[in-house]
Amino acid sequence: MLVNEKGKVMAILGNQRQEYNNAAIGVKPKTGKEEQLFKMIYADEIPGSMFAKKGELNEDFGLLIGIPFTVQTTLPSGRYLDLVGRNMLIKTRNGLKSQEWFFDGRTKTIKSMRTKSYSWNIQSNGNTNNMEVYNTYSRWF
Amino acid sequence: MYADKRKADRTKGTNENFGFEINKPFYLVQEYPMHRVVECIGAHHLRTRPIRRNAKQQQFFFDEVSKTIKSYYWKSRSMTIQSQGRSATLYMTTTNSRWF
Repeated sequence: MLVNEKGKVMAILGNQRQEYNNAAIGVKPKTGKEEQLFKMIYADEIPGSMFAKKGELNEDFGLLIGIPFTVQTTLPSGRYLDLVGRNMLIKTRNGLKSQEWFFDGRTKTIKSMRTKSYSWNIQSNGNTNNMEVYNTYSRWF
Repeated sequence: MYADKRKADRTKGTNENFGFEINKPFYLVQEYPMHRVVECIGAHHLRTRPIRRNAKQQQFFFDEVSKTIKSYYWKSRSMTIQSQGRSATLYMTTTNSRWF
């Protein structure tokens, strides 16, 4: 948190639940909310993971960037997570790309290999327990 | 103070009042999962953008002389609050000595 001499805190102006690109920067009274959380990292101490490329491990999320993977249920059927429309279901392995996923290092979301503009999402702005895929955006529930 | 007794301005080390290393470039990183950083755009606006390797527009430093945060790309410009401190918006402008 960056605070000036008068107690004003650097913050994102706008909706605090969404991680905007190109968001304007401003000052607000100190609340400690996410919108005010900035950390200062000196250029020679910036972690290499912030510039990670395809195939490298993102240590925060524990996933290899850009490498396709499948998600298999541990139920006796051993079925695979599949994408039907925008719904996520378990189906028997069929080798199609709809059953493959990858971690996108830029957006930090899991995307479908079938439709790469879709990311995993919790329906209704995170207010339900149903998962789907949706156009990638920057809200975190 | 006589000119011959004046100490030279420090160009290294830590300013403990402000908590910055002097003249050492740094990024301002958002603590959201994408870790976007603050970027100075057009020598004026401050916006969040994905980090780019060696982009000086995304780097800032603390200037010991003016006690302001300056852009590492536009070194004559410091961070300030718009409308003489009455606005909520931060931007970069030519360094001045007003404190809001």
